[in-house]
Amino acid sequence: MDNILECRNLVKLFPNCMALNGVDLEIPKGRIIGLLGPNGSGKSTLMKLANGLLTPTQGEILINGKAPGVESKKVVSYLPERTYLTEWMTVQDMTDLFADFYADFNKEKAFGMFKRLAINPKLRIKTMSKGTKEKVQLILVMSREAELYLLDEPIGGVDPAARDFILDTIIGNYNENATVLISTHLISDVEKVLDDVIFINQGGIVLKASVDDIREKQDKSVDALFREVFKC
Amino acid sequence: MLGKLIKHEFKATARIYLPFFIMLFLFTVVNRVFMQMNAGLEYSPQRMIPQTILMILYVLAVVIVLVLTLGVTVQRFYKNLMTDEGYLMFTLPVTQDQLILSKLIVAFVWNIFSTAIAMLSFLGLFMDGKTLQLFIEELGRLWQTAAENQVNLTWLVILFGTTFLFGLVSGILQLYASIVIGCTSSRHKILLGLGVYLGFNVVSQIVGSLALPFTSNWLVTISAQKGGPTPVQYAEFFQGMLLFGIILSIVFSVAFYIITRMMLKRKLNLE
Repeated sequence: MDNILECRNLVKLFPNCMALNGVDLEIPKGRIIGLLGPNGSGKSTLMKLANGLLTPTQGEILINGKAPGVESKKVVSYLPERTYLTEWMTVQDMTDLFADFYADFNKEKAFGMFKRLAINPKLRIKTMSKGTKEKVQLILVMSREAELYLLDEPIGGVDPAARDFILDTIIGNYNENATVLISTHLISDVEKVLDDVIFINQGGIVLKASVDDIREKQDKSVDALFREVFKC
Repeated sequence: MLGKLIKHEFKATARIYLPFFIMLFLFTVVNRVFMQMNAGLEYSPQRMIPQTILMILYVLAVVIVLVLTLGVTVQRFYKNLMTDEGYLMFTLPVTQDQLILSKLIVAFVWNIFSTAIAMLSFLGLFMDGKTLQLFIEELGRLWQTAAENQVNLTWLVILFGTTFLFGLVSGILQLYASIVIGCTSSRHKILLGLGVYLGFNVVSQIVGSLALPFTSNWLVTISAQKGGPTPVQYAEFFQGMLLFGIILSIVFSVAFYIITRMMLKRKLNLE
């Protein structure tokens, strides 16, 4: 089993909207992959399906060969597009909660990163700015030694300087066999860390290629190719 | 994992409940002291006004604690599972059953605790050694009279308590089922949830009316006999009603649980 994530004819219908339209996808272990597409292309829906937050209308989605469930949640570390931190808790409380439920959570790593970003663990989440909350959440998610990281818009809400820190955190904190799937439309920012890209539009996969291929064979940056493919 | 969920749920709820329990305790003590100070003194408006105000505040505190319990039961389930916090709760390596059960168990304990505290506070306000002794003596007499008439009062009290406990479980699960169905509406969550809750009430009223033939049968039987019903007949009637209530609560609990579980599993759609 070399694929950490597999989709077979995956369909997700919402009332009045087809979010995913028969997606077939295989994502191998040990890659950093960009899931790139315009707003509303189905990126978040795919990630929610992989986390069992939604159930497929048709087809299946498999993590390590199994449908999302308790076993998959043990090895998937998910950063949703919104903050799910509990407002009245402190950073310390949130960290304890993660350590309590996830066997692969590395507390030292988390506190190391809080320290580097000058985030006081005694602070309540309520008192923090949106950007700081996003940083705390990313640190918690990346402090797990997971097999699959699903990061939904991890750099959407923070300033460019923090973006670099976040990307460094992402590449600096995953092991060789883990796969990182990053969804974003800020391509030029993430381009340098990606191994592969998947272009998604209107619920379907448009293109799947390695970044090297795009650069060597087409002599283009991913950003340029994206603009070409998704030209309005 | 269920244990961990319960632990975290207690942590999250205790911080809301404890200050209110302390408030109620303080109101009880202050009122008690005031009443004791005024006892045996002549009537005077200067003393009665503060005491009356304190009494009103005390009653308000009891009401707040009881309403708070309902509010927290709803709010914890809704906020923790159906809003942004749900993104974390549903990606923890736990099952839907564990999530529902942890919420149910903790809400159940707090509901009993709030009721018990409200009752204890009431006793604490009015009870003194003499009244307590009188009360116990009176209870003893009641039990004796019942026993002389071949009625087992202890059994009836246990049955009554059991009915209350099962009713509480089904009541909490009714709230949960209403919330999960209410959340399927994208715009009118509260309205739909409330509507569903009332709908469930209507259904349980209708099912509850299945007991009517039993009741009317009993009325026909006893009205045909001279001197009205005997104590044993009364006891049997109450026992029947309570057992019926317990069975209904179990049936409804199972139904509400299945609805909640199914909706969380298949129809979950966090914003």
